[in-house]
Amino acid sequence: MPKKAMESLTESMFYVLMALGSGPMCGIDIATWIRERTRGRVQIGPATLYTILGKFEKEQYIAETEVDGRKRTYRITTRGANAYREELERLKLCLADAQGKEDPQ
Amino acid sequence: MSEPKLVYRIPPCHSFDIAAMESWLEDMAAKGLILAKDSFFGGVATFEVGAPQKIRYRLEATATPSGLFSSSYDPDDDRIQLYHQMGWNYRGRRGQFFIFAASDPNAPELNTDPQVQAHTVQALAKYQRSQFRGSLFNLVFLTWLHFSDYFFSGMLVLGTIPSLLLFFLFGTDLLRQFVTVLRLEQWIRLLKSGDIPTHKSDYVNRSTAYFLKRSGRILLWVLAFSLAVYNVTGGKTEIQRSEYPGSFPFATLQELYPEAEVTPWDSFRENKVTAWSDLLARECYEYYESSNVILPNQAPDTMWLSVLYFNTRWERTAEKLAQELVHQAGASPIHQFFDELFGDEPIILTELQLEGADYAAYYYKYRNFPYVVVQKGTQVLKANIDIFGDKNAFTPEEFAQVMLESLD
Repeated sequence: MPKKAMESLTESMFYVLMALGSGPMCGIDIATWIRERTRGRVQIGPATLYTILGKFEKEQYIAETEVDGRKRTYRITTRGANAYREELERLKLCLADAQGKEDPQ
Repeated sequence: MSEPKLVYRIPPCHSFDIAAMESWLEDMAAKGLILAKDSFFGGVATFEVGAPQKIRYRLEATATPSGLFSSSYDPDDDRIQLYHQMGWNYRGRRGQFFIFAASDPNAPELNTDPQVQAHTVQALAKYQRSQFRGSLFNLVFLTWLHFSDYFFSGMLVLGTIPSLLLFFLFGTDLLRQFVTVLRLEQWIRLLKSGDIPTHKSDYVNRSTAYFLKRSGRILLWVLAFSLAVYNVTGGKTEIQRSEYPGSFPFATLQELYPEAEVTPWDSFRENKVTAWSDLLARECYEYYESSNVILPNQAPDTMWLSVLYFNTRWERTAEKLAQELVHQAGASPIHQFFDELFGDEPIILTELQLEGADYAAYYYKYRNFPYVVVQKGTQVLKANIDIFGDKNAFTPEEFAQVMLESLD
């Protein structure tokens, strides 16, 4: 039986995939990228980030590209990119639904 | 640069009371007691004395084993590095939690996504469940496997009070593990529902109760082990048989051979008696006699008599003890299974119908002369007699009968 992928991505997970979609990064760079991208709205804590990276690596959403001493760099995999796109589509639909309700036109 | 002054404190809460631990460490830092690196040893925290500081402490669940020397299960270096880059420094661990500290008020919270945090707690819950299953297996299955035939006799050797204390302590430990698993499950549910855990706790009001419970438990463990060790090693007086002031409630060699001149080997180290009493049995004897027995017109015989005797408080205990004494020799289904498995010599057990006895049996295993087990009312004994030669030997039935008649 194939391993069940994560059912849905949390906001933090979504942003981690988004960050890695822009290119390979190490943990601290991911956190900085997310903070800057969201203008400080989303701050990701180290425990949250570490758990997500571990889980994504296990699910093969991301892969390690380089280990430089204690610094690990990750890249997004095709599987991870697909998961990101699916979540993006879902969010777009949510947004469209919400906008439709707000604006009957 | 001089070494900082160290002080030691016992945490005022259980390691799983996360908010209380975090609040306590923050309060200590506000008083100028800064948690030292690798600070927990045997449940005691080490603090460096310095200037009061505002430090945030956070505990993070880990599913790696813990113990007195838990530094071998510290977080990975890359994890410590990442946390450090984000303002959090690793200080050590207490039980199943890593402790991180941040003095920078701008450092993001350690956990910012409760649903992601639930994954970490799930791993700990899984670990705790396996620990609980292991403890349950140890307590129930192994106790049954090894001690089902030693329950009462073991209690009489260890002492009833320390035995009951140990059962209570092991039992409540198991219960605590179970409650911990339930609390973790509850925590996971809260995290999954998006609930962000609080980091503040009014631990001060609960600390007295915690300290009383904790010190009471430690005292009980110390008491139970001390009493058990004392009972096993030196609590019972072992004296030379000839120096024993009273008579015995069972037959000795002189009573087995009333016509004979019985000369104990007083120099022989096995010629001794241990007498004690317990809650379960008012009289207990371990009796060893080695004597020269000279019957009229006969050459001396060298004989050894060993008796294990209990006069229990209740007849039911004596019945169980008699069964245990027979089973210990190898009559239990477990012993028989292993005898068969390893091709060992099986026990040959014969139960006897003796008038006046509630139970009587004899068994052979590796012995020239069998052991007899006799129970009459609250009294139960296991006895064996070894004789060089067989001209004055009893048959097993005769030996059981004589030992039965010697009981009150």
